[in-house]
Amino acid sequence: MKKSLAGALALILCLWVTPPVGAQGLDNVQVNLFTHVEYYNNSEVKPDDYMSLGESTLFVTARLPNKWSFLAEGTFRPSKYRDDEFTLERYRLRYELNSEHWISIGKMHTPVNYWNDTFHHGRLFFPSINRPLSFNRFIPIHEAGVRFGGQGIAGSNFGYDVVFGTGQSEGDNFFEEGVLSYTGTVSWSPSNNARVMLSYYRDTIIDHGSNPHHAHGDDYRSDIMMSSMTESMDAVTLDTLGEDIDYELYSFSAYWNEGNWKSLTELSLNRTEHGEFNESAYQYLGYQWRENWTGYLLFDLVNVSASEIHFMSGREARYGVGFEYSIDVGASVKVELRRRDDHRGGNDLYSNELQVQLSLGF
Amino acid sequence: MLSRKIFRIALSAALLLLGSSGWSAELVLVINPPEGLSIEREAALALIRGERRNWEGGIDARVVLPARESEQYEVVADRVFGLSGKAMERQWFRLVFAGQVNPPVYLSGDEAAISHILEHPGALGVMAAGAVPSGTDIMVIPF
Repeated sequence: MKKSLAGALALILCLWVTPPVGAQGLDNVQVNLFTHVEYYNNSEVKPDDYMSLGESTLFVTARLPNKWSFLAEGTFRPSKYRDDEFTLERYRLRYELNSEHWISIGKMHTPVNYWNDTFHHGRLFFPSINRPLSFNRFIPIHEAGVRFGGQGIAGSNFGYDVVFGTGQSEGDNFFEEGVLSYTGTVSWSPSNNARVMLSYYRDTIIDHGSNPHHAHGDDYRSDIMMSSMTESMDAVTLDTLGEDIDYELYSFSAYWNEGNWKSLTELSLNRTEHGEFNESAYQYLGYQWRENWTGYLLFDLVNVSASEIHFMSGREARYGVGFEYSIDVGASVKVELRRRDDHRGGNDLYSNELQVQLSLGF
Repeated sequence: MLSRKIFRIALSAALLLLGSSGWSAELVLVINPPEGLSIEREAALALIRGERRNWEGGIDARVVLPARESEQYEVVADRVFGLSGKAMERQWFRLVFAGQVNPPVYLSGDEAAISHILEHPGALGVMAAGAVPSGTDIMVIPF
């Protein structure tokens, strides 16, 4: 883990201080900073802090000679909010095979759905304040590996992605156990305003009893039950320590933005060891009634089968209304009023939530 | 005879006014074509709109867009993207952050834009037809 991190940092540093061959100066490198602050309140559970500083993201892209390019993304959040203050979320080299096909090598966001392939860590672009609930549980957000991709093949609107990955259990340790995960995606995208994706992901979770699958550190401020979820999961899986299990995920995404309307649908089915399927559904529907104002409806559901052996069983949902005000190109405020139902692990919690987020990008 | 002359003068003045107005100025695609590549208008437009990342063969395309201070900022955003200037910038910001395209260059003057395009084979932009000087190797395609 540390080796991979040091290697990636060294690579970034080399790229940063060494102008690429043929470079015309710093116009080959672009650096962006994203950050956000939030207010959160819950009718039933008093949060530790009403205000919090969100994840800050440093995003670097660089054009390299001979059809190569580089992209890296690192995040910072004070130790008060998560164990690792600094994380390296992405670092990848990309080579253009031709105008339709490319290959990427490094740590990347797994192209299993539209959200994960598009929004990444910049809250400024999220349609709603939080990622879908499935992200902290089922979605393999990152993958260290090799990705083949294509778009607009033979003049059509179709694209594909194939990823051979290290797997979630090995994290950043490139292919330490060989190729453990496989991702296949097909997409249809007639413009930047519409995209449909179908994907299949398969992984082997090593020693699943001691490996909380797909955990992603800090994510939502509103995940007040996360610690109890992990505790319960450990209790459930104590007798299966050391066992490797198969994991499969099927996903469907549909993004559409026409006129004043914008919609995003994220659906997924997943299962471990060919057992019963767990489901997730996220739906956003927004209407922009003035240039800077958008109102939206939000529905987000995760339902885990009672016979599931790795994830905590039960249903969790949140739904409500939100408003977004775009202050400028790089600044927006979102406000959400939500109902939250949490029935995971025998819980029976109903609550109301208010969350406000100021997100910035420079 | 006199009335015809007055009509001609009035028409010329009207055309001149229309021509100098940002909203009515004719836009053109301005391209520094990569060597050995035949350029198609649709491919160039797809690059300008961020729907495509590269020229044929994977050759890097550098998109030049008008900066916020530019007179053409709102014109290009409206005619090329059907969006406001801010919405155009935000859309490009999102595409870059998603890793789909390389970042565009925002320049405030036609002269700076043309100079940038001339310096980089594969670079392209959109500007008012009258802004392009003659006698350069730049390819100009009506928008």
